Amino acid sequence: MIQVENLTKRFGKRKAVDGLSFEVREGEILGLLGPNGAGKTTTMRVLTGYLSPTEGTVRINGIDVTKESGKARSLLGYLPEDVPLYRDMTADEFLLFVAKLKGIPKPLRAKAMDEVTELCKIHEVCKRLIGKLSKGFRQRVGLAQALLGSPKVIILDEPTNGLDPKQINEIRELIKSLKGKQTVLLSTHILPEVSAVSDRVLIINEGKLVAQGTPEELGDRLRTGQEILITVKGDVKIVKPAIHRIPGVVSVEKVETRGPEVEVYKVFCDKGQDMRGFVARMLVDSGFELLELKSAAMSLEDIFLKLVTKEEAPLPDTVLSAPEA
Amino acid sequence: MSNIATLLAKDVKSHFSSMTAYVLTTIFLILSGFFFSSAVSYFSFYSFQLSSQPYLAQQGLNLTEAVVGNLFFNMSVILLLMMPIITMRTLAEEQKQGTFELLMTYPVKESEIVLGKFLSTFIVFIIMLLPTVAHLLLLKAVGGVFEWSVVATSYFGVVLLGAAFLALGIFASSLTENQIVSAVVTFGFLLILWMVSWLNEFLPPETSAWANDFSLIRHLDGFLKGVVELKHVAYYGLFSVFFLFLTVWRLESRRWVR
Repeated sequence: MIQVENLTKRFGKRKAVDGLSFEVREGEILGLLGPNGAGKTTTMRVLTGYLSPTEGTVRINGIDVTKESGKARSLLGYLPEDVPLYRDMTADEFLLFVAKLKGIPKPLRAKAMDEVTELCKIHEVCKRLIGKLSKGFRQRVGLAQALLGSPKVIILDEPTNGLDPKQINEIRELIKSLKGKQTVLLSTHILPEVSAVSDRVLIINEGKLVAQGTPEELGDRLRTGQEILITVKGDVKIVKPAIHRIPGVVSVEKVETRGPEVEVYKVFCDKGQDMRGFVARMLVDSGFELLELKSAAMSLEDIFLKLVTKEEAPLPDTVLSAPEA
Repeated sequence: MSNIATLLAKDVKSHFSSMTAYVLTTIFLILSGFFFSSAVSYFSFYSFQLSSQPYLAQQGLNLTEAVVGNLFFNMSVILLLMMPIITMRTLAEEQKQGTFELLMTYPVKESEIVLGKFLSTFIVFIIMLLPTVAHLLLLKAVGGVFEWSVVATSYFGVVLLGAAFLALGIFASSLTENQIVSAVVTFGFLLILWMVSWLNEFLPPETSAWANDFSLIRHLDGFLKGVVELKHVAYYGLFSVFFLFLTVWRLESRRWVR
């Protein structure tokens, strides 16, 4: 649905976006993840035709956004970062205004407006001035204007910025509900957001694509070894060396105490196959009471930090800007 | 076309909901009323004096020129001060609030936005100007004798002049996100274009005509005397179109930068 090829955007000497290529498939929710200043907003502005690319092409549903801007824009719904809205209009007036500009034919306007007010739950504030609304409601009005007229592609720049946790959840649910129906590209610098909402993640830093994949894939690819958390009943002095003796275990450390002689250990294993089953069998066979065992997966947060922090050692080849073939 | 109407309606509404239109209209009417009543007072004072001098009284005073012409000239001076305030917000505010970016994500052209802005300020301007007809009706009611045709051409001239002010103001507003900067730039440029004819006294004769041609106010003279000449209409028309074009270019220029 969205094809970005070799997109570069230069502001003077600074490259805000540098050779970015990616694709968003129809009905997919793609998360664009990166620290502040990574080029997310610039990328989105080029996608919406607001800025022209220095190099490269962007196509939405096969339409070049630079050459046929108007046509491409009629397929788009966009929520800019700081949710710019006309504060001296009521939510209803504003949505009607947008509906007219989006070229929704008159007989369909009321229905389209009802749909988005329903979807974004802004019924109660429809008659109030946007300037008087709370941040949460303003955000939803912003989202409503993007969704108005069910555009094929929805681009959301940091849609949950500045909301409280409850509102964040609601907005995320709303975005998830679009899955399969509309193609969504959303940017964020908040990690749980991407894993909560998107099917696929692009991590960009300094305008370059650093990694892409599903949240799980990214986790798998980056994990340098396996970490297992196990809870075992027994004396530390006996249990700890016993775990350590299991082949493949690199190190063991006690993390916390859960009760009398019930301890949680963090076990590092060699990279390679999944060690969980083996460790469990070994412990049970040795006569220990195994209460709990789980894999301590590397969170997206760790991956993100690893990717965008320069001090880190070079990443495994597989991860470095490897577009999926 | 429908996009322009939508944008126009939104802007006119915002001019009135933000009170600026009411305040400006009120002040404009107070000022023009003041100048008008003082012109009428002067006129009656002098005509009274003249009546005691028989041979001068025969020549008579011209109410159309002395009061009506004066009224319209004064109105254009007040407009010079007030138009920048009407236009300062138009595009500067849209750019500052980021709503310009939002507008540009809809299938809307820059030219439609600019025309919407221009026409909305033009409507505010006309609404501001209309009540001044009351001055003239009042003058008629107390027995003033003047030519309505001159009134009509004067209104026509002032409307054209006002449109030129607005076009330049909208261009200035597109250059900045700051309303004050926009107003000051507009006022400065209008004043320069107004005063450029004053250079005549210092310029050699061959260039002084040139300075007159550029002056915003010199082109109004004919209208106030009841004469409509194509070249003056063309001057104001082209002036407005030129600055509206510049505004469209200015807004589109963000996409030229690659």
